[in-house]
Amino acid sequence: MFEELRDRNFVIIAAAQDSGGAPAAAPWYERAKTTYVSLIDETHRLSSLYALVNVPSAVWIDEAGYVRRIDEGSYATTHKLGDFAFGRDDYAPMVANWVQEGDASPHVKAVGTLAVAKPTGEQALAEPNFQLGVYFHRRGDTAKADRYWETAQKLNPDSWNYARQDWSFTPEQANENWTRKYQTLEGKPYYRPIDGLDAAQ
Amino acid sequence: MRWGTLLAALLASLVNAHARAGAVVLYDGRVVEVERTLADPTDLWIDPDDLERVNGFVLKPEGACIDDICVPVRQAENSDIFITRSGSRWFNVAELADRIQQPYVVDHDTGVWSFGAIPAQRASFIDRALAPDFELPDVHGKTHKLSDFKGKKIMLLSWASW
Repeated sequence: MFEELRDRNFVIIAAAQDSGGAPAAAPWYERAKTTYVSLIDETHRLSSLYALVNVPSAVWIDEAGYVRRIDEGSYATTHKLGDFAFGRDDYAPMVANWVQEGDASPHVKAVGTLAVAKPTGEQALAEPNFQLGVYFHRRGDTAKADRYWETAQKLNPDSWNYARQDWSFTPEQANENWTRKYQTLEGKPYYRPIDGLDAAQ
Repeated sequence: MRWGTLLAALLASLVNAHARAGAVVLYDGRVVEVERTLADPTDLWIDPDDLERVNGFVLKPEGACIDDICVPVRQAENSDIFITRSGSRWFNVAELADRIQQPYVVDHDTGVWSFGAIPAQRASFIDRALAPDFELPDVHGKTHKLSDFKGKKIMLLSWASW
């Protein structure tokens, strides 16, 4: 399906939010036999620029460079890179509809109307702390990496990316960590539900 | 604070001739090593010629400027943001960040300064939903820029191995 869409002036760009870099992400791309643009994003640059707090997330950008839709950590099940339905059967048809119909598609917001939340002071300060963590992690200074990553998580508890990246280096505790944080949601969704755009369907 | 800052910079320049081991700056996904800095625990004084590779700003007669943002800097006299010592000029990147409300954190042991987003540069995304540009390497090491794909519809996907 996405092969056909490519001929219609459409491109998929995937970015691995992995401080482990290519060694962590490349085998997944390889296994999925990807034909789209497969980026390595060690510092979680995409998440930072688009204020994404969980993976997987998708951002739809139109020909003029406007963001028309953001689905942030929206997929109900674990994604697979080789399968862009991402665990939702209705996702690929929505994308296809947008590619074909453009502005007339019910799945996108009008130009310039997508609401993006302004970060609080603490959320904004979380990012440079996270980056210090990435810097020290790369240099093998685990104690310092942990310290700055923990600060980032405290400053922006909404970011699952900060937490999950940190936990990935202590896999034996990851389940326990995840459960503890998940309980703090107290019923709020872990993945943000696909927004009201699709009610029209 | 103002006079404390100046005094610290002055003392540092007297004790240490001009500079110390330097600093590392993290900003915008880059790691920039700065060789010449003034020793100062609370501020980051660099050679104005290093400013552009640190954060993209350029020091002009009217001030420190990037895109359509210009922070006025008087260079005829010493201040919190600019000083001249023994013929060397020094620019305070931390003070610039304060003035443009850019968050930052410093690891003092190692002299690593990490700067967050500049709010004025985030406005086009937050207010108008214009997609912020970026460049990243692909699995084969080739760099791609988002704006290279302008004119196409794009689906950007974030994922992770963890």
